[in-house]
Amino acid sequence: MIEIRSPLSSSVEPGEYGAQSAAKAALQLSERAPGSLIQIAGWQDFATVTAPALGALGFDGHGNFRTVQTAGPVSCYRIAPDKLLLRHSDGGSFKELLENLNPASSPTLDLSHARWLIEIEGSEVEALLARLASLDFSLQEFPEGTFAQTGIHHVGVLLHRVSADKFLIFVPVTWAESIWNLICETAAPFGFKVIVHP
Amino acid sequence: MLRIKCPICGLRDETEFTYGADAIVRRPDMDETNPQDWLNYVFYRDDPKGPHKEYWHHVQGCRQWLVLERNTLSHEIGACRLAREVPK
Ligand SMILES: [Zn+2]
Repeated sequence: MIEIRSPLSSSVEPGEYGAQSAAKAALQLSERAPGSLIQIAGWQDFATVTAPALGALGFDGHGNFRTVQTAGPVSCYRIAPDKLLLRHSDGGSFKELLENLNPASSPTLDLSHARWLIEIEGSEVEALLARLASLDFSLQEFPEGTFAQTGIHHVGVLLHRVSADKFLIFVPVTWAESIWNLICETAAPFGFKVIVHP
Repeated sequence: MLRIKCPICGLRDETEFTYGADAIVRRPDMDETNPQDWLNYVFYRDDPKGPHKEYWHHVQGCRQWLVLERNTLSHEIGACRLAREVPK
């Protein structure tokens, strides 16, 4: 397997940026490799033909279009009626899943090289995102463990609320740098810290 | 700002969608031999003033094709359904 390199390697510089009046930076930005990312698509019999494979991974059905299902290190996003996005956060293999799927009825697409993750955390996360996308980011409307697909700067992204003050943003690798720069610019009035995960 | 209630994603801004085509147009039967019917189908569209049905694509969301009722006069948005669920 070809090594996955960060599209942000020349953009991410650890440090503190923007407004620094607060004792602690209101936002923390970081990047992450998505691990293994695979998309399963299908037709009208999608639910039936993929159920055994999903069951083997520990998922009970497809869930809904808002809730992120998790089973161990694997997250499942129902991104369309006949489409699922699965993420193995530690980069584990989807070999078993592929063995349980018939490629003639459930085609899969490896997106591990096609997406990158930007992580935003902090007390001002809702206010920051409200300046980037036209969704209601209040905890009531966008609860923990839910996701939404939308556009940031006209680029299609998937936002996953991991906790009250933390979001994961799935961005296309080719647009990761533009989105990162836009997020940094938008976060400057709040003050932010760029951190690098070990 | 128009807001469209996608059956998959919920209420979203129009900026997430792209207009596709007139959803009223029906293709003639494949054995139709009258050239005028094919000419109408390929090139001619009505330009209704008032309620209309249009194909829209939720390109920055679930990427589904939708049939949207939109009033061309008032911009009022009506029902929005998945195109696959709308009888041909
Ligand atoms: Zn949608």
